[in-house]
Amino acid sequence: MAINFQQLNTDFQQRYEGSYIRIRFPNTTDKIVFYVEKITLGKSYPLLHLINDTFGRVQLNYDSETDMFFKRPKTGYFWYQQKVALFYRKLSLRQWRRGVCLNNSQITSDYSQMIFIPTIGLNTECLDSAYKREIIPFPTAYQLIKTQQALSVPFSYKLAVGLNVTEKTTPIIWFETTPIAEIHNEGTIILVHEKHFMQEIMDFVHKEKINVRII
Amino acid sequence: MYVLSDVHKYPPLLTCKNWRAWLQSNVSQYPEAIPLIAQLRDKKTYLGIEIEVENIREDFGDYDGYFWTCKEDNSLRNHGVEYVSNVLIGDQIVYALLDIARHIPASAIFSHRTSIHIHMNVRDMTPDQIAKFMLSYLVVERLFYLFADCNRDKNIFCVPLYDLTLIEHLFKYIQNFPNYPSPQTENTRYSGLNFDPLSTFGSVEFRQLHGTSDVSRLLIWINFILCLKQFSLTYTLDELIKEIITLNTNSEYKTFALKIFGPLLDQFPQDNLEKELEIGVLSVKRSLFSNDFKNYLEQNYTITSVALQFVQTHFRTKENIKRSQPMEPQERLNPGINIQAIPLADQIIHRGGARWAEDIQIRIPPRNPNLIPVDRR
Repeated sequence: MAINFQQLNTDFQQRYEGSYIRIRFPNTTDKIVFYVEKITLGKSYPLLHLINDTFGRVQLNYDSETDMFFKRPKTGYFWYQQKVALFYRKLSLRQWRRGVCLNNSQITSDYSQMIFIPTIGLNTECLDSAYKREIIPFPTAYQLIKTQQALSVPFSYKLAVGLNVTEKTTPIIWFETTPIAEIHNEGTIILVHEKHFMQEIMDFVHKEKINVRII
Repeated sequence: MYVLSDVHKYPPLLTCKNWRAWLQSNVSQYPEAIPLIAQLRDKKTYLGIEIEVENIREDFGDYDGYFWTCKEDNSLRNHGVEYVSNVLIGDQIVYALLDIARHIPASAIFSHRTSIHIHMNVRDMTPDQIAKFMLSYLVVERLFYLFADCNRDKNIFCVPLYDLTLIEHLFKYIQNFPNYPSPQTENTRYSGLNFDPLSTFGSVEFRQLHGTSDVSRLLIWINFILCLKQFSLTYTLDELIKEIITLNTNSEYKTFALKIFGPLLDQFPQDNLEKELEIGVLSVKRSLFSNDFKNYLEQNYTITSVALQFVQTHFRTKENIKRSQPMEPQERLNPGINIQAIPLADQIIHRGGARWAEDIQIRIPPRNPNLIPVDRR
């Protein structure tokens, strides 16, 4: 059966125009996040009009040798600008669009329900970090918070440690954007407030062989 | 404790009329029905079935049988239609499946766009029983997707609950139905297990299965759902929560799943079964967040805290300073807005998330204490 390029182009346009995709240029290893500004019909395959702060505007044929990646990042924490732990999750809305966009993706700080933090949103820089999924070992993460060098630091894809929002200075442990515990006594005691998550903390401590008492 | 139909007005169930007469005149045409009927795990639960299919030409699309009505479906392509069943119970389920399987032409296509939706009636269940149903489902949710296969967990029309923030509001919504605002933090209609019809039809909808007319596969799927319902009627809510939370060894995970499905558990892919159930237990924990610690932090929040000092130093710009002040309670509940006049969905979306939903809860009248207690277990 002959390929209906018109239909192919329309589908592609509906799915990816106005969203973010990743590109790997020939002979390079890094995947770079681009915003798909427009998709037009090329000679046969769709022609993508892309924008990135570093590379500027790029036009790319779908059948060019450059690799394109359309997958969304995995759900979970990642470290952003070495300042704050952000959480990426998928959203479900009935729509044609499949590429990463505000209708199907959300990036939030665990603190965003209490404090307005500017600069956080869906953009190429933030998404780039979301794909890289950097997390920090717990002892380092704790030290960074103890010395107030970051607002929050992820130490697993589901757990992060962050600064306190009350008069106290005891660091808070977050599970997927909900606070569940506090760290006391110079990092030697974890006081779990959401008792259902005791097992998750215990599993983590056991797995990472961290010398800490859990209450 | 009341059942849903005691407190909410639903349209009448459109059941199959003159069932006895139909059965008497048609039973001989379906000799294969008898062993299939014997496999049904529950014959007292009403179900509604929707089957999406493509490439049904006009001359066939008009098919309206005893059990089924054919409807246009704009989400499909290539002459796509949806067959919607009447409300079915017991033996009718098997006859209806055999009937549609015979009538769908061989040229029909079950593409990746098509799916099966099963509505299960819960009007006769108490909110606690539905909450138990939801929690049990959460534990085994991954198994449902593994059985459905075809990357259905990536499909945006049946998103797994473990991927959604909805899960953090759903438990309270169900347990306090109908006195708690609907958790419309996302487009809840397209979650794999859809609780939106609770308020419209008094049902829950399973959307995970791909399009098929394979009767034995459909029957296994229906039995999974019926097993879940049966299981949710056995424990008290506290017992169930305690059991799920304390599941922490591989053998216990499997034993728990066996309690739900019995021998049907073998129908699920067995690779990494325990790992998949572990993900489910985590979903249950997320849905049970007490939020006590979160509320404490919000109530004792201070501008001189180390967190806010950090934000002021590292994130703030002049134009954002005003916006980054902590939200005052009166600002959150703007007295200029008539809360009652705004649809609940808009209220929640307006501020985004649980905090706003919590605020609304204060204004919702509590459960009616005069309701007659009913135990339908």
